[in-house]
Parts: sequence; C-alpha cells; structure tokens
Amino acid sequence: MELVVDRLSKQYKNKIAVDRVSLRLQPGVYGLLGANGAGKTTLMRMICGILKPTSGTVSFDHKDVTTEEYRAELGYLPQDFGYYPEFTGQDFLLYMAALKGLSKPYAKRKVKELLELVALQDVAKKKIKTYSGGMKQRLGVAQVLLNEPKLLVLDEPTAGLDPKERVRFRNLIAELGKENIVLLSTHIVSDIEHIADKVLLMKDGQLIYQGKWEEQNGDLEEFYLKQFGEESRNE
Amino acid sequence: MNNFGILYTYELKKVCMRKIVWITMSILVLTAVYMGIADPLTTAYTYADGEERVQISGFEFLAMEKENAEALNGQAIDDALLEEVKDAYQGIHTVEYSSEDGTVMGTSLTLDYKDEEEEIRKARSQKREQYKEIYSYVKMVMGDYEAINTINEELLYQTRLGRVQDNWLEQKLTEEEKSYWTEKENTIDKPFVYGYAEGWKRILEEFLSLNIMLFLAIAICLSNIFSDEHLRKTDQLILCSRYGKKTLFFSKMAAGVTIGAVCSVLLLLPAIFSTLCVYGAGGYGVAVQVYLPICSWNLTMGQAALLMSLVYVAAGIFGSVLVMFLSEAMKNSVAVMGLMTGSVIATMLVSVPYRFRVISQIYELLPTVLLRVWQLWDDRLVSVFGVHFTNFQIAPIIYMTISAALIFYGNRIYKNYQIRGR
Repeated sequence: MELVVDRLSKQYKNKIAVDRVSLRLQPGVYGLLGANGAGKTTLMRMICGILKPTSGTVSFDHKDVTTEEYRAELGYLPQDFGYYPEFTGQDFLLYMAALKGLSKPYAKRKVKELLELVALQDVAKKKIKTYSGGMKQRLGVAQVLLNEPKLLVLDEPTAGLDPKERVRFRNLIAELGKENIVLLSTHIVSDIEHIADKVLLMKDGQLIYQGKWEEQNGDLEEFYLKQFGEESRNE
Repeated sequence: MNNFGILYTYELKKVCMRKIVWITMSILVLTAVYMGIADPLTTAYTYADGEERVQISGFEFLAMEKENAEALNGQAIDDALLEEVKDAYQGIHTVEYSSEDGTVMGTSLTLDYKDEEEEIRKARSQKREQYKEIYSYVKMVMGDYEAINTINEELLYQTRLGRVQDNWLEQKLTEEEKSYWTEKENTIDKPFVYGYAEGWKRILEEFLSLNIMLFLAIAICLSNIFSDEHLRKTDQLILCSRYGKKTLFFSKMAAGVTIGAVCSVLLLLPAIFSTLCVYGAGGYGVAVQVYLPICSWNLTMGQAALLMSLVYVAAGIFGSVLVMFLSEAMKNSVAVMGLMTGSVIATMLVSVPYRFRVISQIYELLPTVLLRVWQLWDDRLVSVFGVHFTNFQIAPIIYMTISAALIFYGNRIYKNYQIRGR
C-alpha cells in the first residue's frame, strides 16, 4: 500500500502554492505541519483529487487520483465544510455512504456502528442544525470512516473538539494508522508528537523536512516555532 | 450497483425538505385552482326586468349562458342555422355616440324595437340569448357587429378562409408552407358543427399564466440544487467520494427533471379540474375552428388542450434542466432566480415582428413564449430533412435536444470544478 506524490505543484497566477512536492507514504500516521498559507490544504486537496495540480501526479497503489477506484479508497475530512441542516445525522451518513458506494444494508449497519463510535447515537435522528460545533466535527469524522478508507486525509480533525474528545480521536487516528495511510494536518504540535510516525514540514509550498521525529534531537514544538517563528509573529 | 436510486431519492428529499418549496407550490396550486373559477366568482350581472333592475351572480349568469349554448350543440353552422340567428338579431345595428360638442366618441350596438309590446320585446331578447354564441362567432369571423344581417354560409366560410390567408401573408409564409396548410384546410370538415367547449377554450387561454407560474416554481425549487453544494462547502466531500462526480450529477439531474415534471402536472391538473368543474367538460370533440376560427389544424378543442399540455410538461422538463445547468454554471441560486424571473418578464413584454422571420420564429419557440393560445395559428413551419413540423411539434424535440446538450456540458463543468481558496 503506497501513496505516491510525484513533483506535485500548484501555481496561481503569480503565486506558487505547492512547489514540486514528492512523497512516498506507506501505512502510518503522517503529521503535516506548516504555518497558515504554507500550502498544506492545497496539497491535501490535490491528494484528494478536488484540485487539479499545475504539474505532477498523485497515485495510490497505481490508481490515478482522477479515477473512481482511487476515490473508493479515500476518506477526506476538510478543515471547513458544511452539512445539510435539514438532514438528521443518520440521514447525512446514509447519504455519504451511498456516495461512497456502500450497499444499503451494509450502510445501515456501518452508520449505526460509527454513530456509536463518535458518541452521536442518541442524537442520530435529530436534525444537524441542532448539533453543536463539536458534534458536527464528530459527524465529519464518522463520514470519513464509512468506506473503511485505506487513505485518510484529515485537515485539522481535532478542531472544535473538547480536550477529552481530542484525546479519544487522537487514539482513534493512531489506531487507524496501523493499517492505513493517515495524512494529518494540524496546528497542534502535541497531537503530531503523540500520534505521528513521521513529520512533514511545509514552508512556502515546499517540504522542508520529512522523516521520523525521533531521529532528531530536541523538541518538535521548539523546532516548529523556530522555523515558523517569523510567520507566527507576522500573523 | 452505483447507488443511483438511493442518491436520486436523497436529492428529491433535499428539494422537498425546503420550506420555500412547499410555500411556493401551495400558493401556485391555489392560484391555478382560482384561475378556473375567477371569472364567475368575481363578476355579477345586472339587467332590467320590466321596471326592476335585477342582479345575478357570475355563476348564475354562466349557468344561463351554458344552458343556451348547449341547446345549440350538434348544430352545423350552415345556412339554416344562420337564418335562425339572422331572424333573432333582425334590425341590429351600430350607432355612433357623440360628446356634447358633437365629437364622435364611438359606436354602440342597438336594436330597433319600434312600437313592440313588452312581451314581444322580451321574447325577442330571449331568442337572441339562445343564439348568442353563433352571433358572436359570425361577428368574430366577419369582424363586424352588423354582419349577421347579410350573412350566409358561403360568405362566412369564404371570409374565414380569407382571414386564414391574410394570416399566412402576415406571417410571410413560403409557397411550400401555404400548400402544406391548404392541404390541412381541406381535411377540416365544413360546415363546422357547433358545440359548447368553453371549458376547453378557457384551458387553452390559461396556459399563458400557467407557464409563468411553472417557470417561477422551477426557478425557486431547483435554483440551488448545485449552487448550495458550493455555498455550504459540501462540494469537497461529494467530489472526492466514489460516486460524487458522475453518478451524483446524473442523480441530481434526474431528481430535478422529476421535480420539473411534477411541478407542471401539479399546476396543470388543478387548473384543468377547476375550469372543467365550472364550465363543464363538454365539447372535447368540437372542432378547434369553432372557437379559434383562423386555426388551420385539424384538431378538436380537447386535442388542442392535450397537445398544449404535453408541450407544457416538456417545457417543464426543459426549464428544470436549464435551471440546474445555470445553478452549476453560476453557483449562485439568487442569480439563477433573478435570471429566470427576468427572462419570463422580458418574454411577456417583448415581441419580434414577423418580418424578421428567423429570429421571430426562434423567439416564438422559447418555452415562455410558445404556450400561448394564438400560437395555434402561427403557421410558420420548420423543415427538417424535408419533413415539415409546426412550432408545437418541433418544440419538444428542440427542448429535449438542448436539454441533452446542457446535461452534457453541465457535467463537464461539474466534474472539473476545482476547490480553491476558502
């Protein structure tokens, strides 16, 4: 199982958002770190096939990013996304299950199981417009897992969750990373320290570091602040 | 299995769960019902009965008119009947009326009663009421209130044919088109047989309003079907899912087309039902020329209503595809509604003269223009590989062809959409 990103670039008029990024990812959790505007979300969108690269390719087990087969293996949690307010949580997941190609009987079983996993079983039949921000985020995590994806792309998955839920999801992500490829983007360095097998650091559209953090001496947060201190001060 | 059916059901659910859809459709359906009963409901008639002035409701007046008209059912509009009408309307003529300074203000219709007694006068009045429908028909064909005094069968049908030919001239018909319609004219049985078909006539006239209502309904129901996915940012979840690019697009289209067809039926059926309840369903088999004299189609009133109903549903389907295409192309439901409403209003106000033949004919094929009763005597034809089609025949084919092209192009826009900075 391998995700291959080969010299991937995205250019907007006079700005290069992602600059010749190459990656080969095997099962494990990959923490993607970078300041705002570093190109993390652009890279993730290209890996999910919802943004066309200017150049370069993305493939998963030789399946091109543009194919239905690739998307069948993918689970994506965007940073900021919406729901259908008139749908119930259960309806939303059943709808997403149909989109992901699950059969109806299997989808029903899977939705029930995931609602329990994200502790939304009691509000499954309530309209999403009545959900809190944290509940919506948990619903988003549940939809990622519907098709048992081998490639998970999670953009700020713990945003909006309370500390207890954050720890729970961190453990869940670590568990998923044992057999699947999980690409995780977050600003919370401690999340990366706890669960990421490898760290990917992005700056100005380029990967400035990729590898196991244990190999480095020192604290990741300190390194992160040192690299992005200037940007952080400017923000 | 690609879950098309499941996705189709969910797309229908998304549309039907919106409150504005229910509110709009409820108002429009009630309006459609009202259209059928509006005239008798909102009118009253006053007449002199001796010394007294009597007022009757629109429904009572309609019942009287209907009774008189139905008494003529099955009678051929020939010399024998025309003589009877002539006798009933004997002495009818127009007189000018002037202002105090002698300026002629207009004309009015009057009768010479001489020194007739009240009883005789009343009997003559009743007789005129009995033949009123035929008198109105003669007046409509001849364009003259006094024509009844000199009318005969030959003159009536010759004048009608003359008016049909004037219409051809006005519409700049080619020789080929003229011979096509001459052939059609020859297949129409003459003299026409009268039948009371007011209900069907009213339905034909109602299509103008029904069409406006349909396009507003479709714009409100479907303008957000694609744009909301972008607005709510659900597009990024959809487009990276297995069936999000192809199957979902066609599921949405199928759901929208279903909504368009259902909207057209939901507006059409109440309008037809209420109209036929008020005016009666009789007269389905009456020749269309009895009510629309310059129409050259060999159709009955009921067939004409059926033909327009079918085109109406086809227009509904085309309208729904167009709105969904715009929803994806513009990604803004308010802009789509504005565009559709503006187009409907514009086509109500704009007309293209017959002298610009091609532009005029294309314009008349627009779904918001075509469904008007007078299009039944737009005799310009469209020739495709030597086969002639009238506007009503070619329009559904054109609508379906354009719909297919919009679906194809819309799918390209949809699947190539890029999620950029948000």
